[in-house]
Amino acid sequence: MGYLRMLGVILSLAAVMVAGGRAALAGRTPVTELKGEARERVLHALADDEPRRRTDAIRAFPGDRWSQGDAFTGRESEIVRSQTAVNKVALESVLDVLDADLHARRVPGRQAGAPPCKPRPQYD
Amino acid sequence: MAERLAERSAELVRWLRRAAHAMPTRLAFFTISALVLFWTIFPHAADLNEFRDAQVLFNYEDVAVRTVRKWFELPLWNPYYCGGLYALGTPQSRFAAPPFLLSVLFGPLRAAPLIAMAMSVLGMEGFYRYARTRTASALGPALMAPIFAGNGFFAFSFFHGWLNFYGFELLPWVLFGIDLALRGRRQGAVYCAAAFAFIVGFGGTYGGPLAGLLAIAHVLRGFAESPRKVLRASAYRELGIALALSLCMCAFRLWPVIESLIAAPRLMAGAPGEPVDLFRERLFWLSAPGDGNYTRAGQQYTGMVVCWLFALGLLRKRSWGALVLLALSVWVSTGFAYEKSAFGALRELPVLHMLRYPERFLLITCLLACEVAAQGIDWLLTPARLVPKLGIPVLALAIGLAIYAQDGLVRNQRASAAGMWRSPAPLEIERPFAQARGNRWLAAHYASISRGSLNCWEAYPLPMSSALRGDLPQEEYLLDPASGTTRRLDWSPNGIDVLVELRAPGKLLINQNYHPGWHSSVGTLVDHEGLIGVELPAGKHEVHVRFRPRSAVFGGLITLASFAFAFAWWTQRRRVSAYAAGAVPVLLLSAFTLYTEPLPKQPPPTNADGSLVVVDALPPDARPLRVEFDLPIEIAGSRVDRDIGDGIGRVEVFWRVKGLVPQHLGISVHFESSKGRFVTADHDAIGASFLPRRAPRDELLRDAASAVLDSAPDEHWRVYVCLWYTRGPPDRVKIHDSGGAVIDKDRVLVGEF
Repeated sequence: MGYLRMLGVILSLAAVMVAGGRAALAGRTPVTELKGEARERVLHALADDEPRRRTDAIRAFPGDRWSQGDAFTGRESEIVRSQTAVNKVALESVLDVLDADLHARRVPGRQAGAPPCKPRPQYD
Repeated sequence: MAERLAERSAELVRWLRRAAHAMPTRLAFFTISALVLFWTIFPHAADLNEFRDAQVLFNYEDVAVRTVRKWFELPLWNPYYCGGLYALGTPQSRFAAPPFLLSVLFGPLRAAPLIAMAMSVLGMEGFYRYARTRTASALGPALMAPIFAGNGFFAFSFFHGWLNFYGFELLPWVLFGIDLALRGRRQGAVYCAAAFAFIVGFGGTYGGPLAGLLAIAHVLRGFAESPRKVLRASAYRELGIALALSLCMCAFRLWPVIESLIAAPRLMAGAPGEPVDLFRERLFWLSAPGDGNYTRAGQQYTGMVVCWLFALGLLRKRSWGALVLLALSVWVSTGFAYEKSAFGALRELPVLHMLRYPERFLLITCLLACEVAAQGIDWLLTPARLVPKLGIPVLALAIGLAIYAQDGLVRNQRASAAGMWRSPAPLEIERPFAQARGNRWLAAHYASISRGSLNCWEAYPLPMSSALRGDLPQEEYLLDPASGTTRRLDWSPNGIDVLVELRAPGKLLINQNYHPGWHSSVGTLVDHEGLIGVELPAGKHEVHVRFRPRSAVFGGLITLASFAFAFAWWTQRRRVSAYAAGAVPVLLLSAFTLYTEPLPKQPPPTNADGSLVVVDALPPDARPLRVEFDLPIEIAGSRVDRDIGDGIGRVEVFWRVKGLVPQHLGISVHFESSKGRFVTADHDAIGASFLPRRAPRDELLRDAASAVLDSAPDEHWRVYVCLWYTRGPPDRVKIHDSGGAVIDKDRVLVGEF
């Protein structure tokens, strides 16, 4: 059984090495940042529609502040993803445009916070 | 010739048994099986899972890795989500377990398939050891181990980014430990406790309670199966030590999690369940996720082969105990589908009332089925022992069935992985940390751009300040900006250094959630509307704010002491084990006497609209009522109004629960207009905070509900409220005494506008 044990150790190590190698060498999709005018365009796509999306969220979940915020950001995430795809840029870059704008200027009525977490008791 | 063949057959069977018995060859088989299972996942190791739950869970792991790699700190506090949360106290984070080392080494993305693979191998070895104690041959357990560890539940979990559910792979280790303890073996308590600590540290919101239940059931099974053995005092001693050691080894994680959940209990309404016949889709159909979502198919894929071998295994008497537990687990898995509900009974128990998906208990069914199937392989191999020339055909049949079963699991895993929604690894933007408004649907994308997402989802209502902002020029600022200046000197997730110059005494605010585990080097650290606040005297101060919660410090020390005890107990060093055991009460005493830290407070329960639930008296403009139902619950008042502008109608019902009410009670709110329109605002929880059965007794509870009415100014609305049974025939609860209120079909008219 000595050889068998040795074979077992070698095979185990080989499998671990293959797995580690495949994980470490897995290709990373290159991503680019939004720049210049494209940032402005993306910002308009995200920010101009905010009041209407807030109203939609309030009507979707009347009297439920967290769910309203959740519905609002759910729709926002769809726009972020579509802008990411249209501009072929990193999603984080699109998020950064929105964040930079929120930090740069305060617009009355525009929310910069989030309602406290209160998951619905039943959401399936 | 025939004799030679028989000799060769017997030799081959012996050789394979020995190979299965020898740990290196067995582990090689398990590792290669796991590699084959996950082969198609590795090329996507650098991609991010975009499923909504994966966003949050990735954030937890990512931030923990960043905390260790960048700041060389323990990941105690996560400022990158929800405005800051106790990372160790969040039940779903998985970094407090050994696989975290892989995340630190490879990064949280690339480590994910490696962790899944490593956990699978661990699951296989655990299953082998557990099942081996019940079979004559090592082959059965070795062949069935990959079938348990590759169960469709794990593919389903990987798909959703629920890597923490791989903690279920350790269930057989818990059972193995109990088996050893029942035989009076010292190692049993250590195996059992280490497995529990691993499961809990790895984010076992389900794994922990499920493992606990399974452990209790397994001890009872052990008592029933071998009463003579368990009568030995050593068995009781070892079981007692297993229990105490498990609690102590888990202390580093259990203490923070318990504190968090006491402060913010998870509310789980509804009556989930599905009939047994639908389980065939879960167990025998291959998964086919599409558009980022899973159907029922393949969620616990096990394959038909296990059924065939299971049937053979039942021919052995020693598998009957497993059969009883298996039947129970199936019953629990059906949830509330039938009138008698074992899941419903479990939900009555502390902690277990937070369980949500009964079908997850099917994994226990699969574990027990695999155990019996291993007996089935054992049974198949028996003729080969008696008639050696049958060895090769029988062996070929057993191995062929095992390969066929594993092929099904591999196909299921691949189908599951092919349906995953992935995106490129996040872009890194290095800059000082600040909070952003954020987005929980994209939570995984914020830490890499040095931003925290205030927008938050968790399974429990974690305490968050309403004063958090995602647009501040400085994250550390003075309550009165005119009183002085602040400048950030240093920042890490667990510590913030700020230079403060004050002309008069003032308050420094930090744009993160308060937790009693925060401490300040100067002044007094306070809870300022849920934010971290530091009251400071006038002058120039270097303020060092640090997160050092008692539960992490002393919980960690208790865990260390219990590891020392476990080592000493295993190696029979009595003096060391006595010292280590003695250290635990000393540490507990020190934690509550020497370490000044208030317990986390439970924020007052609020309605979904933010109004308080528990009130002292009816508001002045509320309408007093005294409607008594056939159950010990009454309506004490109501208030209704509508806003023509936004088209929303609101109702507040003031309930008083006076005794025990049924588990499944719903509240119906009906808006009926003079123009024949009918709008509902039905719900399960009073004030979105308490199920009626668990509501505080004899308190006045405000229950707010709203609905979009879009009514014309001349439209007259009547608002009715009733209680109804949400299980069984949808009957309304009868009204015992209307107290003068208008009643219509067991509904109370609570207002008109």
